Amino acid sequence: MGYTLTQTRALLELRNIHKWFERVHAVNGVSLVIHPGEVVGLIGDNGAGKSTLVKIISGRLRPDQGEIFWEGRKVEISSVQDARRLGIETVHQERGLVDCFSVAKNVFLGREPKKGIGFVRFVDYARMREESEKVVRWLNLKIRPEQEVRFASGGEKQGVVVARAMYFKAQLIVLDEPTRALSVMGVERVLGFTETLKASGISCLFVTHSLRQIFRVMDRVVIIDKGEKKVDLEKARFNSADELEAKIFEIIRGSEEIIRGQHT
Amino acid sequence: MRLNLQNIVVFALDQMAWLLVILFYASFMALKPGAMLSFDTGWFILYSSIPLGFLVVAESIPLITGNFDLSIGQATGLVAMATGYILMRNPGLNPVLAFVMPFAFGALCGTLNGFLVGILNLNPFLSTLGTFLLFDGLTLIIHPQSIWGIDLPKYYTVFGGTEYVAILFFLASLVILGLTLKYTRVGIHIYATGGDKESAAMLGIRTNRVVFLAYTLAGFFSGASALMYIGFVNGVPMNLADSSIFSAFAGAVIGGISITGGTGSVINSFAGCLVVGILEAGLTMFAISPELRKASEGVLVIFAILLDRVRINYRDRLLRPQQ
Repeated sequence: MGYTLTQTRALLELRNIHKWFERVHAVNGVSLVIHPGEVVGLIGDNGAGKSTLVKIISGRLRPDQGEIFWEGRKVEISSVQDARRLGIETVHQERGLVDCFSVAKNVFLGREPKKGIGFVRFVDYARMREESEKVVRWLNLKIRPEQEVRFASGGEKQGVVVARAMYFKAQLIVLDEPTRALSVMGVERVLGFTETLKASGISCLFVTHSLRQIFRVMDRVVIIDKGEKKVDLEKARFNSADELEAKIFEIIRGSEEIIRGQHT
Repeated sequence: MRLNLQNIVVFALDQMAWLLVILFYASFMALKPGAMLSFDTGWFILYSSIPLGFLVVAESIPLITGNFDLSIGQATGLVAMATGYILMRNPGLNPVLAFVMPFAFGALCGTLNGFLVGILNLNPFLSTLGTFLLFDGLTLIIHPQSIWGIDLPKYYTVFGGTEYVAILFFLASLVILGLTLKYTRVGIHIYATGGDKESAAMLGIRTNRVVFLAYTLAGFFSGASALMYIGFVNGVPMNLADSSIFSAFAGAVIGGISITGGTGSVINSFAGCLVVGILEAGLTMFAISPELRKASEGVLVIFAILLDRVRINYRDRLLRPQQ
């Protein structure tokens, strides 16, 4: 397909992934490489197959055909836990947080630290509070660790999930349409998180409807349509968003709707 | 936590059930100082609340996971009857085994509910309605008559029949359960499952198992309640605990356990149970008829739900960060 193997070793590589739902060919032979510290924008219309692809990467669906490599090693990602163990965390829109729990509890939910002697071991609330305070501050979030998540804004909630991914040293963060239903401020926040992640060498797969929105932070754009990868271009080769868009139109005519249609 | 006015108010709001206990007790004390001021009255209200207290605790656990259990009272009746019947037939049974029995039978009843709701994902209302009828029927099949205390080994009724033993046993159980729910992973996961099942599952919490465990614990504490009832009433009446589910719900709700799950504390739900007990005792002291007592309990529940809504709204307003 349309990419060449670069010098750096790929963090995640998908090779010729297929997925059928009944007779619908949801993902049709998609290959995709994500390098360490790279931000890849994954763009596609509703039903284009991008959410199926995201589910395959995050361990919620298994591909019917194709191979997945992690740091050059062939792997099977058959559950969310598998993905986590590799270092893949998924940030979903409006999910992944227990609203009535504090920020600290949410950051550590499912992986609570414990302290104690021998058999008598209790969850270490003090440590959860301190550690989450650190990551939250690092992400410039103005929320206290003991604050209940339901009082946080949409952007801040995404921040809590990103904080969790960072604390547990994720290497690839899949942002699954994180900007849908967010205010301008919220979108700006999420883009800010992405830059912070990139600066610390964490790769991001940023799933969205809008190329313009993520142009600033992305390194590469991948466009999926009808289950197939149509475009895989590096931003560095273009001077502006306009130029990149022009190139994309050249590759696929009539794809304006995919790129422009659903600005949020 | 910093100690400031807001945190103190939030703390008071969180412990409102205990304020209600004091308020109710003080009101009856003002109306009838002689009776309510005596230590014996308070002590007896506490003691007589314990069999129901275990049921309130039992109900609270599935409620916290966002489910509920209609069958706990019937489980208690069944466990008491099964245990009583076995002991009546085998008076020489090993005492340790005799004490383990109610807990084991109770937990077994709970696992059935847990299997239906947690593992098979059936509707909690319908499943536990089914087990309600099942346990009720089984109780009669085992032994369709009451068992008197004299037919049971003496040591067995003494346990729940001795005030301080029953109270200490209950308080110890309550503290252990409260600590487990707050300070262990499984406890946090019980709350998380009730708070947002889908998110909890996404984070790798096996919510099916958590719900299964919650029902098993509910069954276990129904068994504890059975043991306490046997001592308290000195025997196993045929209708033991058979309509206690309503009071158990009332206690949990007054104690601030949210019906939608994810919040509330079992220790406060015992406070809710005490409020019911104090009202009952206070009205009895004024020779109010049982019908009227029942009606006032109903009013109390409605009042408690309204008060809880006010409490939560006010608490939210305090905690919402100023933008």
